Amino acid sequence: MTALIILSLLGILVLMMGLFHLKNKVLILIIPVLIAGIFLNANEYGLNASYFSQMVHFDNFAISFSSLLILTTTLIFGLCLQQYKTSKKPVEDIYALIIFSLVGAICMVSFNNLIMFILGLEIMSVPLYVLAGSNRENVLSNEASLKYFLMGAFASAIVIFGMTLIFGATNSFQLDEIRNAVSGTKMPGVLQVGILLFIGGSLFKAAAVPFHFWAPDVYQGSPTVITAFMATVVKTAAFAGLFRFMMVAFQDISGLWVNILVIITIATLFLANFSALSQTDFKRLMAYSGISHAGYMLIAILVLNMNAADALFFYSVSYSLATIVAFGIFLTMKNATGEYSLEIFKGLSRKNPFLAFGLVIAFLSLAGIPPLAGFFGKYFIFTSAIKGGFLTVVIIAIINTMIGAYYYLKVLNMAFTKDVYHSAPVKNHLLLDAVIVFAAIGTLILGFFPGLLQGFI
Amino acid sequence: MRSLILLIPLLPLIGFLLNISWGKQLPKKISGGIGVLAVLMSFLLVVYGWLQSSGSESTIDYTYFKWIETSAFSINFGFQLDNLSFLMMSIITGVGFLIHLYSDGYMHKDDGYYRFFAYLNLFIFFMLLLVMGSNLLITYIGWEGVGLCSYLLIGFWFKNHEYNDAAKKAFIVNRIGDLGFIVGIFFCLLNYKTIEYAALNELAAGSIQIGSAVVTTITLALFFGSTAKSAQIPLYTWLPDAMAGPTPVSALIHAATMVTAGIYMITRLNGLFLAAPFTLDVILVVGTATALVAAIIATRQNDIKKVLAYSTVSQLGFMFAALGAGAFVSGMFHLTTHAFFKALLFLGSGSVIHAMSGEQDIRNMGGLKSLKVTHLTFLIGTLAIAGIPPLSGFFSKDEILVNVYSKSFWFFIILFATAMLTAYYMFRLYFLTFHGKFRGTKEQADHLHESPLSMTFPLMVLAILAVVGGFLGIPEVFHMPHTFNEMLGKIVKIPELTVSHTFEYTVMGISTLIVGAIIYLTYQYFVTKEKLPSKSEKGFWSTAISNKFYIDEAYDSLVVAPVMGLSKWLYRVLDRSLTDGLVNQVGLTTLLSGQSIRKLQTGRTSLYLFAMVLGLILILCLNFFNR
Amino acid sequence: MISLSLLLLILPLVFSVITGFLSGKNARASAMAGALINLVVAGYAFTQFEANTSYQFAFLSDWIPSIRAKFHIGIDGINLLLILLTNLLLPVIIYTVKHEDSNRSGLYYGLILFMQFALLGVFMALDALLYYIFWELALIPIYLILLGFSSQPDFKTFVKFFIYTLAGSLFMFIAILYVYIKAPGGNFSIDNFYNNHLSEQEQVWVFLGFFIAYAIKIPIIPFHTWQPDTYTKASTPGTMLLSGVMLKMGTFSLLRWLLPVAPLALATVTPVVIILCIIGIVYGSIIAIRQKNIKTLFAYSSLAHVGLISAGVFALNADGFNGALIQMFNHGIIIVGLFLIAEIIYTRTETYHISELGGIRNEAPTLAFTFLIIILASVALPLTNGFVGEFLLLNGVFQYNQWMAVVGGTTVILSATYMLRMYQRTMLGLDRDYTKTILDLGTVEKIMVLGLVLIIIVTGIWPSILLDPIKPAVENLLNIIKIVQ
Repeated sequence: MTALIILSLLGILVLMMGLFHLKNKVLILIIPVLIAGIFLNANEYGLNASYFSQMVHFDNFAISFSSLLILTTTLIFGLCLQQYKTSKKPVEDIYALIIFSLVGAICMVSFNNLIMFILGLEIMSVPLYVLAGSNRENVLSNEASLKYFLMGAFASAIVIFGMTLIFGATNSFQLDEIRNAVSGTKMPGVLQVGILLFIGGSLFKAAAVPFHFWAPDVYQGSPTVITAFMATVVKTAAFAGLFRFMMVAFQDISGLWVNILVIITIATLFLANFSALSQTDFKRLMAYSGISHAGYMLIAILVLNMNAADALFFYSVSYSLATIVAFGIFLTMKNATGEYSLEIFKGLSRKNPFLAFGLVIAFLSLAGIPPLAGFFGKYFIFTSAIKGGFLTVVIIAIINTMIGAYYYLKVLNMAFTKDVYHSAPVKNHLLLDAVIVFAAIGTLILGFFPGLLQGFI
Repeated sequence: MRSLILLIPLLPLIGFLLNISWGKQLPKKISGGIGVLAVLMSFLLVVYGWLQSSGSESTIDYTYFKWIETSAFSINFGFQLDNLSFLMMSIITGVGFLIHLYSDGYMHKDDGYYRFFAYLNLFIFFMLLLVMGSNLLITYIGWEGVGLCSYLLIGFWFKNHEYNDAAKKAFIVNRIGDLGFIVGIFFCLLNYKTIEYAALNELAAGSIQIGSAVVTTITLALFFGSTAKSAQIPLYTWLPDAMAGPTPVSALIHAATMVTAGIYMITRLNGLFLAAPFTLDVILVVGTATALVAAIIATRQNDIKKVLAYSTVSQLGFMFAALGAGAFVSGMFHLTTHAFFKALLFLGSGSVIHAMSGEQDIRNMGGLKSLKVTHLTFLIGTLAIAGIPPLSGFFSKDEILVNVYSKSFWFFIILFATAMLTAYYMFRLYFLTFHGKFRGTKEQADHLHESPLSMTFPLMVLAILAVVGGFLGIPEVFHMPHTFNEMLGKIVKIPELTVSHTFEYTVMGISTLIVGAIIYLTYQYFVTKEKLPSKSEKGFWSTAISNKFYIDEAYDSLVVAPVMGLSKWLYRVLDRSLTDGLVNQVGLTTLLSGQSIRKLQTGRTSLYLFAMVLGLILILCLNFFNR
Repeated sequence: MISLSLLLLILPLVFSVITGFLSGKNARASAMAGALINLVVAGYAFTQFEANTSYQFAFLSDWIPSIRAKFHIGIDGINLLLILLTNLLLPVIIYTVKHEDSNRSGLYYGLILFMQFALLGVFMALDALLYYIFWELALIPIYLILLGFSSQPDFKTFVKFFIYTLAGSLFMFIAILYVYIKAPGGNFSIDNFYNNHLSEQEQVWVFLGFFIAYAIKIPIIPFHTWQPDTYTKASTPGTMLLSGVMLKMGTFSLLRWLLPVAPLALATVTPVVIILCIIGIVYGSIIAIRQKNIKTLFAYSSLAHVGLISAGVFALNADGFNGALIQMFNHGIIIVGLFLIAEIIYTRTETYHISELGGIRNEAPTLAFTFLIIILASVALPLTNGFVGEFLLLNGVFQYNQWMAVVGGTTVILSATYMLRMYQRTMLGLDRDYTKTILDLGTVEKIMVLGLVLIIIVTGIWPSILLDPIKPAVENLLNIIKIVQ
């Protein structure tokens, strides 16, 4: 809760600092505060406190996920410096919007009342619509913003419609009350429709099939750090929120919706991985990669128990870290070449073995090759799913892992080929490198000692 | 004594190691000296060891270490020494020494002089292992080892690919037999849990049922192994090609020692083979057939070494026929005498080739009587192999004939006829080479010279042996001691001959008469009438014979070509196109379907929204069915 | 006192990191030092090893408490020889690295040492999850070595190798998860996996899961098609790693993780599997005869040899197991020897094509002679190490089925055919354009080649040094399988 307050204040402060054109200094403020936020947040671990007439509930689930969200955002701010350093326009508003979006995300993982959820969803989304178009000179960026806004609004409407139906069936917005209402008695048909609509709308932010269409276009058009933010923070928040809602409210009646979700999961996995195979643009590739990871994370929602919560958390951490490493390296390369295609990685191992090595860690972790964090993310999800009786889904997911390996390896292949794409020297940047090193080492450590992040929830 | 015996094979091995490591730097005298001395010392040790042990009753077993030991079986690295192995060892080292000595002269101008001695020493080492080993696997080491040396020595002049092909052929054909050998070993291990010779023969004397499937299979497998090494039908084709090697090699490996390994091994396991009458019959048939076929082919060959090679195949057939008739000692006896006279003949031919500056075609020779020692010793060898009494070949061949007669009349007739053929082709060879006019070029005539002492000395020694060797086994009709029977009687069962003395005398008399007649006729034809084998043969039979019955061609088109074709087909079609193609197709399909799915992403927001709504409707519909 | 097995595992990792930061000659020296130090440690462990069934020099510690995965490594008769082999081959492999690319050589050497770390981990792991991690871990450095340092880098070939092997191991992953969830102990320990109380039907599925991974890695036909291309196109150190050590991961795992984990399945599956192995022997040998590229030829010959090793394993008797373990060691030495010679030829002539070679013996007799010895070991001539292994293996198969042994035994003939054919065409005959000025072995090359030749001959004459330490473990393994069956 403290973190929520501090971050809100920070957002306002940053916005005000914009008046004084402290562009480059402002990060010096933001990053320490965010780090402090992580610690303050972690400090509340185990307190299980509720606030605002139980509108939000900071249990271990919420604390763990919100710590992750803040950490991810911190790292993304680390990437920001490189992105906006040369910008002549003020960037404080962009920073503030990111922070506000983060606040919304935290609300989404800690809600205890559906109103709070929709509030969080909107607080997170609206800044994003702006951020997606924050590169005003770029047509693609504007287009992305518009697309994202149009479809996002549509999705929000669906979520709210679903909520209304749920309210109609259970007569409450409070999660535990909904739970009590649905257990035991026979429920009206609208409840099921409501749940499905709610799931559908939430899956929009998580970018799962068939609500994923925005992702490649928006990822491609948005400024790179914003893409990274969408790929990590937004996805994590969407999944954590959905998981929380289903877990607390609808665990007992999983028969109503689980089969549909299985189909969505399988469709997501196949469609994403197949589509990713022939991508040549880095950001589009990451979009499809993100969609496929949504498929794996959906398995956790299928299983829906404490094991799965643990697994989902670990998965989110590993996925976020690896994605940040990938984006960090991409940013470095993009700044050197000014291009977005995968080709820019060509010959990286010759020009900069350090970055090439980071790329290896990031992409093999995303591919789920042990002993990197990504493997254990998949491992925990798969074990919980097998225990939960979803062996077929696991086998399909594993087949998709093989397909996925292809396009991740394709990127690595670029880095290790003999021909060099661009002779321009790759300039290392201290902060950026620090972020890459931090996230890469995190990926490695979690790969060797996955026990470190176990049992938080 | 134990370590002294170990020295016997080790000395040649040391000789090999010294020569192969430093031979190139050493002067020829030293490297040759090492080679010759190693074998000489080994020979002296054999003689010493034999004298020492001749008094003792039982065989001596020396186990040096456990070679391969698993929970299922244990194979010792050990030697078994008795009169049989000592006999073989003395032939190997004795004849081996003479041939080493001869090689010093023969190879003196060759660049690979040191290498030649190294390989020869290595051969002696492996050959000694083969005959000394106390179990089948030690023999197998030697068996494969001599095959390797044969490969190295046939292809000694490795710049010539024809020689290399011959070497390769020898190795591979021998490997076919080796598979039989090793399968025999597996059968022994599986059924009898041992491959020790002593134990196997003991088992055969006791618990093994005569003619049982197991013992028949084992003996057939081992005999199949022998057909390769000892050049019998169907695996003899490598031996004539093996003449590509330097002549001392042909004398040592492809006449006197290595090719007799099969006869030795079967004699060593005589107990087991006697327990398998069917196998003995097979051996008799194969031996007789080989003897006949090879002799027929030899009558039309014009290469001096090829004639001798087919003669060797034929003589080995005689020995196998003896084994098949159960007369193991007779086989060994013929082996011994054959070692003397065939080594002599080969070395003699080497001397001729040496004198003729490499010429091997007998049609281009003639009138070489000027090479006195060579001529005389060659004549002795020819007489011995033709079976003129009292030279060695007469006695040993006669013994085989008598033994086969007691088993089967028809096989006796065939072998008898073969013996007559032998006399014919050998004298044909002799007359064409040494009598008549000189038919070579002028340079050859100018260069004609007798070989140096190091070459003629072994010829003389071998000639003496070829003359007197027969007295080791004089038939009992002459009431003289049969040294061979006494020597090997304890090890090998000697069959009781049911043949009357009259018959024996008759055979000896008739055969001597016929041989005499053949010699006369051959002389008339080739010397008096000066007829020469024509360049191109006419008539069905002549063509077939001079082309060796097209056996090589048949093997080429029936075995080699199909395997080669299969290799290509398997690689191109089955492996690359089908199996790998299938794997690639899976990957390609995945990629292609990825590209088509990707087309869903058009970039148009309205379409996306439509898809989302469609998805939602679909979900709700599914939900309807799910209920 | 640090456990010897842990030391063996950690040293390569430490040196890998150090080497990764160096470049040029320093990297080479550091890598070589690391490999030699580990070889000394491995040699010491080998001498200290006692022939019994326990896991020696073991190291056990908690790793992931929540799922009861432990970090448990140790050495016993099953992995002893492979640990020795890995450490023996590493100096040779490092030696063959060409250092023209000094800029990235640190990375190259580092990856090779990292590979050693992963391989040793696979061999020593006594915890199924740890084992799986190392198994997959080994894929990363070899893939990067292939991709970044190959003579003919070819993404298609290497990605096929990667995805193919990854696909296989993911099936194994499912099988491991299944056993872990179903076995009574609820952990990944090897004992729990051996006593998994699964039904016969379940074990058949578990068997298949494991087997696909191994069949691809070994490879057993028809899962082998990645192998010839990869061997051919990889740089020689990469090929050596693949053929010398990495494929032993598969054959080793058959003994460690397949047979004892799914013994009930064996009655059902063995006949089919062993026939595949036998077919592989003949198939690989026949194809090898007409290969034009030395490395492809060795690849197919390797296919035939590992087919025999696998057949020996599935013969399910002491001879087969002993032979398989011995032959894994021998095959590693021999195939690395062969590729070393191929590399030496290549550095002098810049070609692997048999038709362009010939007459090398005229100029380089030592090279030709040592090559011949290695070839003879490969065709299993007695008194070379290849013979002992092949004899035991064929004998093992023979006890299983006589006809299979005879068919498999044709390798005796066919291997001689392709090897001697190749030897004749590359070494014998007259000089060719490419080989006119070929140099004989240099000093270091001589040390390397003669070292391998020495191992070939010593272990051929005296196989007990290898056989004695492993026998109790083999007996124990047979008991485990027999008791459960």
